[in-house]
Amino acid sequence: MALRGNALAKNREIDIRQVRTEENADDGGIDCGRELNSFVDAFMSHDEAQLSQAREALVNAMGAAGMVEAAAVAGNFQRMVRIADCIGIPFDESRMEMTAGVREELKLNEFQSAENTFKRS
Amino acid sequence: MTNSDFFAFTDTTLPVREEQQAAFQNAWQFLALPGNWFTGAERVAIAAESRKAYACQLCQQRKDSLSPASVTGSHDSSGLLPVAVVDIVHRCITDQNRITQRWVDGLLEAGINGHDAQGEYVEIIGVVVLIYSIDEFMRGIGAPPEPLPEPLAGEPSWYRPPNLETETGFVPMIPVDGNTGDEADLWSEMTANVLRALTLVPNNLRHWKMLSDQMYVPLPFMGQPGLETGRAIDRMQVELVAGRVSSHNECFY
Repeated sequence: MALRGNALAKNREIDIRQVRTEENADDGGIDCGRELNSFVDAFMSHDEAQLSQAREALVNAMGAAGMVEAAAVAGNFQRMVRIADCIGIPFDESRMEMTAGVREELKLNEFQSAENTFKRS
Repeated sequence: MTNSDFFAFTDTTLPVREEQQAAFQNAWQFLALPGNWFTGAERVAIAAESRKAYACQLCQQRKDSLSPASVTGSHDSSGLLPVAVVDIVHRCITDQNRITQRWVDGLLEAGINGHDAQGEYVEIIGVVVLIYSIDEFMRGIGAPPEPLPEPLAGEPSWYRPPNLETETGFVPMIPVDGNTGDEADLWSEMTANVLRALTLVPNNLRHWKMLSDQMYVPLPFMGQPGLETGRAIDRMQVELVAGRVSSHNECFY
């Protein structure tokens, strides 16, 4: 949702399916998209050799400062999911309608943690 | 060690921004201080315990099973904390998306650390997510985890915000219009469930915001898509990383 909002604001066409883990065929219209996706996939795999390789590729693509920022965002979202799931918060009602298309397109409603939202609906 | 000795990044040439460094140092100080329901020593012990979760055999067996409740046993832990605290810490790290209201209710009913179990649960989660997000950042850039701070002396505040609602999550939180009195600074006009989630211990949100400003985008930017922060990553790249990590975590939120 936020990705699409930022792309719209910049009048850029992107493939939003890039956020789903099975997709990494191209950059999806996002600068260094492939390298960022590979970095996140390696980061989440906890395979340190794979992560080291992906980190180097990302530094080559974006520079060291870009890699540091990407790692910060990744760390931040390791926090966000745990806050949401450990407290069992539902998705904010005000955003449910607005995000219906994206949730459908990305099959987000199938996630186990969606229960915290739909059991209250 | 003083606060500024942490996160010096002297072993790396990576350009960690000064503001990020300051946010991490600030988080370490918050970690070392007494909280609402735990002493500084207990909070640092909770942080240390969170670093043991990934290697825990019980957590791995539970993760591999259809239901975490079907696997019993003991966590690989430091042994410094009550069993319930250790269980919460490990579940938060390794199996968070199978945490249910039923499991939380069971914990609250049995008690956690002898005081306000709801407050204790929220404080534990607050400590774990704080340290985990920074540890994960360090792993991402290829740096070792930062040594934990020395706990600071003092008693917990035993503070429970007076204005709470119970309709949103597994535990009470400050309501949307509850940003008044001592909690007036928590948000201005708009808020979101994820912001309110840990507000049974209000300092959780105060420190969440400081970290999030430096690890994601500052709050004022969130409502302004396309507005760039001037950092070495653009907003679409930020959201790609955020979305893909969340997808790996099967985060509906």
